Amino acid sequence: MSIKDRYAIVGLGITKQGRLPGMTENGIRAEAILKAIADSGLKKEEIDGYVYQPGGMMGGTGGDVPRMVGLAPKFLWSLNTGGGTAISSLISAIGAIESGAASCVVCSYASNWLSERRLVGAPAGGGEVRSTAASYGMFGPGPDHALAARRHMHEYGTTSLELGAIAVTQRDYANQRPESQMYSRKITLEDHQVSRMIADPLRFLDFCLVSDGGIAFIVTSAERAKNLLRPPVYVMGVGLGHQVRPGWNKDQYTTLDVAPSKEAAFKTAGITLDDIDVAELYDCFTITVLLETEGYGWCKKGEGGAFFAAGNTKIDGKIPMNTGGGNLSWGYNQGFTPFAEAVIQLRGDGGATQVKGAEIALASGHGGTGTGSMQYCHTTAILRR
Amino acid sequence: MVQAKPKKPLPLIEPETQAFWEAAKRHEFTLQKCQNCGAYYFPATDCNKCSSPKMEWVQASGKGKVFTFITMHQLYHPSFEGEIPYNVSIIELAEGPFMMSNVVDIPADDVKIGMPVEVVFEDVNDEVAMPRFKPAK
Ligand SMILES: [Zn+2]
Repeated sequence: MSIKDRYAIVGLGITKQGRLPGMTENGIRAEAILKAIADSGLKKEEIDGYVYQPGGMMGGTGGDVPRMVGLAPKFLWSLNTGGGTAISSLISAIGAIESGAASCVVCSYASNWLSERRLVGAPAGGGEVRSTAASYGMFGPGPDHALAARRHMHEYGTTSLELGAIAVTQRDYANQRPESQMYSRKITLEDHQVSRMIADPLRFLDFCLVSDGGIAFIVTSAERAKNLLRPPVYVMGVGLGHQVRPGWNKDQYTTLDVAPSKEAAFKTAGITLDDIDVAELYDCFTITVLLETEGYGWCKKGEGGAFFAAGNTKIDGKIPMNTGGGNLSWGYNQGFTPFAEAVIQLRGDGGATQVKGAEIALASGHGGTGTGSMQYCHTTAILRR
Repeated sequence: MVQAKPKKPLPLIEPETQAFWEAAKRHEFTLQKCQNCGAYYFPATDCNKCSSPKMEWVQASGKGKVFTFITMHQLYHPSFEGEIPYNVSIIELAEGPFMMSNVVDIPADDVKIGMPVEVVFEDVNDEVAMPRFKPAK
């Protein structure tokens, strides 16, 4: 039986975003989870499943949190598909409930990287580094996505200024959302163009934020979702893809593996792209948003740059996108940032950036799982109110 | 107190890639070739095209083209101090496989997509020689 409309998000907990000095990742996660439970109206005893994206980069914080907040789940699943983890967690939660093993599953993310002053991609301090990519001076996801940006520019004439339009549009959204990390910091296209190069062609303002912050959401059956505190946000369809192929392929620097993920999600949902009222796409870097937008088909392949420069993703544009400001400007909680914003929009809680009458939202994820250069997973969730 | 300059990261040499790095030490550029259908890999456990397990490391041309590249401006590891900005490229080898490396011998800003390149080896210590690429003559 199709999962369409049979599962719902019933609780959402979001901590302050930005600098949370003195808070551990466990403390941040505990706060997000307690907020999500309070938001849902469920009793703590009803939370019988716990899926968590472990904190500490590839470390492992988060397993202690159920005990800290007084939960006794039947399972604790550490799940990490990088920026794909929110939707992977949703799919895992649905599977656990569908199987009869659980009924209400809390999924969470937490980080204190801003206070820890992590340079994402830099090897841990001290000692000899053994990594083939690092031996060529290649570090982390930013420079890797810059390889994609360069190839896209070469094949389609995309410009840094067009990538800048993505950064500025999202910042404009964040400037209207008081809870966002960049609420009071406006940027212009010129600011983008003079921001320092990190890995040419990607500049500082093409990169997402680093944040202290956490997000938790609760998944349950449509039946249990009735008569809780907030209106349920139903899951219409989900999909997965992963850019892993035998050997290399020439497309992997200009095309993300959106296609299989999109196909599965829309098939289950029984709708088309035109039915999507608001899109929340994973945005580790500006180029990622462009590649996803082309992948979903809001514009033709290669025309992403012009599409963003023309303002098509603003609130009154063809497809309002990353309406809270996203990982680039709202707060970096990886895949949980766009997923949470999709729930916010469908609840009508978007404040000054609420898309009027939004009924169906698409959220995506994208992340590394130890695979090679530009071989990221892609995840899709189509949600409705 | 003077701190020793931090050492450059070294490649991760595993059983699957050991033959490549041993050849590199002799300044020979090798790829894995399927003995059944002739496809080249860098590296693979069996042939992705014909599923043959008969893979052998063979001498390769060491020639290719720049498929895409970046110019790195961010210092991610202290051992690269003084080298910024530097190039990191994806090289499309003449035999088909792609590999990550550096284009050297020219300023980073002069590297172009499609530029023909050929391998050069840099001995970084007694154990490791790094294959990098310079513009082909
Ligand atoms: Zn073969």
